[in-house]
Amino acid sequence: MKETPLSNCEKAFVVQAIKERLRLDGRKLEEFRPLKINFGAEWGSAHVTLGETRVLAQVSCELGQPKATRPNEGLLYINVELSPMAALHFEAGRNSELTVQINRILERTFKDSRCVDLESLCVSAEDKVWILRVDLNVLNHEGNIIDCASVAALCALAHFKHPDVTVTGEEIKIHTSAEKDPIPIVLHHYPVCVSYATFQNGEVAIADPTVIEERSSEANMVFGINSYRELCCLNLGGTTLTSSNLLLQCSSRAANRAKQVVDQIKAALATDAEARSADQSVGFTECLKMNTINSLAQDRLSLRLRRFNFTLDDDFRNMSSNSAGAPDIKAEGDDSLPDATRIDENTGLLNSNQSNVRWVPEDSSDSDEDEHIFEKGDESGGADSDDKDLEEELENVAEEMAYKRQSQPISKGGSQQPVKRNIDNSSDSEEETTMVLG
Amino acid sequence: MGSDTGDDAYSDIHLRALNCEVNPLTRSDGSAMLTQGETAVIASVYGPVEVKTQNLQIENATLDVCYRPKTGLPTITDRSRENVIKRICETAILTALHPRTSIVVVIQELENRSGLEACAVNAVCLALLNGGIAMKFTVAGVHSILKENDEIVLDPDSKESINALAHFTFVFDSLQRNVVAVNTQGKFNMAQYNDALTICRAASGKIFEFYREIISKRPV
Repeated sequence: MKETPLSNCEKAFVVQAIKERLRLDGRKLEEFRPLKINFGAEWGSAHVTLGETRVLAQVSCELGQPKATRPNEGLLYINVELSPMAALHFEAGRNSELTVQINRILERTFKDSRCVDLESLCVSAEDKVWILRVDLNVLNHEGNIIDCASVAALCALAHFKHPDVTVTGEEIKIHTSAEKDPIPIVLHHYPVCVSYATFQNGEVAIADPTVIEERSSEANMVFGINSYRELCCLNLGGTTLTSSNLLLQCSSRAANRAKQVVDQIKAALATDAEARSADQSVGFTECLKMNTINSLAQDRLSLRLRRFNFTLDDDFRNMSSNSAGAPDIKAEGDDSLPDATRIDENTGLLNSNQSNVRWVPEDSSDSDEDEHIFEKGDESGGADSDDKDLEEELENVAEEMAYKRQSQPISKGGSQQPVKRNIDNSSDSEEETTMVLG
Repeated sequence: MGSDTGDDAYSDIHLRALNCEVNPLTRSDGSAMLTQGETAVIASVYGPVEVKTQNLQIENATLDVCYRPKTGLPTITDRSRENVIKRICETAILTALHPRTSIVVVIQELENRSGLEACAVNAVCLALLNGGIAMKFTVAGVHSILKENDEIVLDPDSKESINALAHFTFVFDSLQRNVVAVNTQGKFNMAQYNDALTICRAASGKIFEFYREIISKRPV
């Protein structure tokens, strides 16, 4: 299955929004998505989420022969897998261009910067060394896999412990964790990747791009940087950068970010160690929200416009009448409902036209009634309805609908409640949420 | 014990704690993350989607199941798990509803602390429910072991299952509680097998109950 192509208008929209210093998910240009780290029950297993991007990392080890050129050093392999779970267009077990690119960037960040002390992994020179393997499985691709994967790899490496061994002559005995405590890996420094996407001929860089931003950007910059502000790897993909200023600016911001991330990793490691020493249960059970079904909740929406103040003056009405479909409906619904508060049952939003619109927890008390009216209204004839008042109102609905079809934008005439409710409900929840301003 | 799910058998059944998050992933059509005790699996479902020409079936949807181990490349064991789950899905899903399409199921192992196959089957079932794939029935996988003292232990944790003589994984349907799939490992006799079957069949009710409880929840 091929990747869905990015349409020109989507791309133009993102580019235009960036020009106006706006991002689809409501972040600031240099803002990152929240990072969450969980450790599994086994040593060296970590689950990292960056926004909605998820990566699972697992470090494993085995004894093997060292390279002839470096006989007293262990080996480190990094392997990134993009399975169809991350996105449908990835094929299992086949290396795509993206896989190779991510793999190379991570190898440069972790291997070439020599952050892992490979010499301590030597058991007997020229004969047996520990071979470490970091497996990174991308579970969900919502942009910026590289940052998420680098954090996951670092967490897993910092968490991992390899079994202790005793060498007696030719014989090597590997101890189980019950016999001898396993040994943690020595890390000289903690590098992470921080990526930016550039727009407007390399003038603007946005941090932590999402999928759509990655795809509509001109170039991608990835900094592999450690907490001492040392650059380990720099990757530029796409068109060439023209301003060195931007690069310097970004690298200094990336260094600050790296420091924050490493602090967060260390804090997560400390919490995990504490839980283990206190004999509490550790594992992935912690990282799921207990027994829930996720839907289009507030923090999951890909589109959020934060900058607008939702005031119902003429500006807003003009703006909404220029765009089609759902915006019209929304604007109409809002301004023809005098100082009322509506609760949208699909999204759990409370829209009030008195002041700024805010997100509030869902109140389901009204929703049943709303739905009822909506269902009746949808038949638009409503002939089988027993309720006479309702029937009258339904006729109004039909008229209103017919009028709406003829002329856009719609009149804001003081019509009845069911009309607005009907219109509100008829717009798809997903579209609706794109218009909600937080 | 009787052959069907008697109430007396039902009361003293102890499965490890079941916890799940439905739809944790945003890209797939349906997904579920399930933990049974410390064993954890994440499953995602796409479908019906475009099918590769070489896999196209004129009368049915093609099932594409992919099992991802936590480390390394998929081994033979992993491929056999993949195959078992594929057969189970073929039985449960109404593939005739979507001819010339494909339904993609991906399973990622998160933690293996015994009973992985059963956990994977249950996670896939929840993901299919979440993805809105039409099914003939739901399925529930239950794992049990035979211990040295001839005792059957239901859904053991990793410590208990170290010295097991035999492992049984049964998969039941939700209609008649018939066996959809069996996977056994080790040495046992027919009586022991029947004991394990009876216990697991009774336990499957708890899992179906869990499905119902989860799916009837309001999305957050």
